[in-house]
Amino acid sequence: MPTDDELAGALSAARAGHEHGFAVLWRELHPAVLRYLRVVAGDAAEDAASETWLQVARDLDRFTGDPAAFRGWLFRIARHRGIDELRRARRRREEPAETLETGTPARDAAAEAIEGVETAWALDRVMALPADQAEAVMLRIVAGLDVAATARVLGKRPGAVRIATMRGLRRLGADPQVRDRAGENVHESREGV
Amino acid sequence: MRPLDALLRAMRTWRDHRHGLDEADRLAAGGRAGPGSPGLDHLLDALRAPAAPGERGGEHTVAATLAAERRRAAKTTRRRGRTPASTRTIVVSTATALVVLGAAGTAVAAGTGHLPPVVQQRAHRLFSALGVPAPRTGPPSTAASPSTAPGKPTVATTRPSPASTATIAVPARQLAWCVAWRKAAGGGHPMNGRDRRDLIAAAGGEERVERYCGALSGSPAATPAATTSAPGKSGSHRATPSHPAPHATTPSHPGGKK
Repeated sequence: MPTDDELAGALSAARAGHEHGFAVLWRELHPAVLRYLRVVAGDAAEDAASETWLQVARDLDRFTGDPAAFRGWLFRIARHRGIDELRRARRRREEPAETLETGTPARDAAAEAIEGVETAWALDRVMALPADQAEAVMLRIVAGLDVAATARVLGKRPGAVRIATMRGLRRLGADPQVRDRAGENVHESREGV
Repeated sequence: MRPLDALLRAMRTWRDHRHGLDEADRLAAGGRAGPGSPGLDHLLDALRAPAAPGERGGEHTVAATLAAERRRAAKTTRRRGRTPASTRTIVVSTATALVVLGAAGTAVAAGTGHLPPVVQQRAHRLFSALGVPAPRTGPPSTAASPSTAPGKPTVATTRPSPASTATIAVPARQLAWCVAWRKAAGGGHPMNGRDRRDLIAAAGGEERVERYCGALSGSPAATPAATTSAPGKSGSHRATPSHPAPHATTPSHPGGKK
């Protein structure tokens, strides 16, 4: 994991249009962006992530701040793009004549191929939460934003973010699938699977 | 006694609440939930797992594309005295086509099966996203709404003009089609119907797609045969020039949404 100094260096390199700067930022932050967007936009996560990064590339000269601030800025863009893509995807679904994809793969199959089985499963459990809790959990746990930054991304008060995170985590802890999964996994690893 | 009970209860509730909030903060900071919440640690670990191959592939292609986009945006922001759209189109398209083709060589190579399918999908998605701003060939509209980064004060910058956006959109879009086409041909995710029609139209027929894509990527079509391509809709040989009108999507900026 790059240090803050390395990320700051990558940021200015990226701002100047250097490829290696974007490579560092992408490597470090894209998985979290994609997972967060999976929860916000479902199937449209990949499109939304591409849109997010392109907008970052376009608007980077307007961003001033340290790597921590960049994280917040990035996820704010991601949220907007995710909501946009979700809307667009819904509109597309209303025009079935426009696409050939009659047999689209199940969401799980696509996500599993990208994020891996366990992570896709975990994201699925988070998606089962009420939206505000799901987003708070993702931004706090996966994106690693602090309460204040999460509040800015979501346009909420910090207190509301803390409560949503707490409720989301409690609900996940009580989710029967979550409680069962741990046991199954122990079992599987003992069998050497 | 009554008021005291009420107060004690209120304090206890408050304490539980505080405790819950602190616990959530602790978990967010990487703390373990422990055996009290079986499975929760497993779930959080899975959420935070290191990048899967599908999440980190295509790094070079992506980085090159983003860097090119950054340089393009910087150029269009700086250049305020406008040259005629036609001149700008030629200059920008020549410069950016080289960059995009260089980068996309990798992306199209990905279509030949050198990379996992999800990486191909990534490349495809990224390149198709590149072409999203609606190209226009007419004079650039003066209503270039300056949008701000979210939460930042408005800075007087010009948006990249639609005309110059179009020039990068064309090769990127076509390359994205080719990546998607080859992915579908290789038994992967079926291609978006509208893109498929546009690609066939641009190539001048379904049987010419392979050659078209080969020429576009600068490499001879060392690819899986197109015979196994997505089913149906082989017609629609529209005689469009090689710059078919992309989908009318609007350029997107987060500032315009709040």
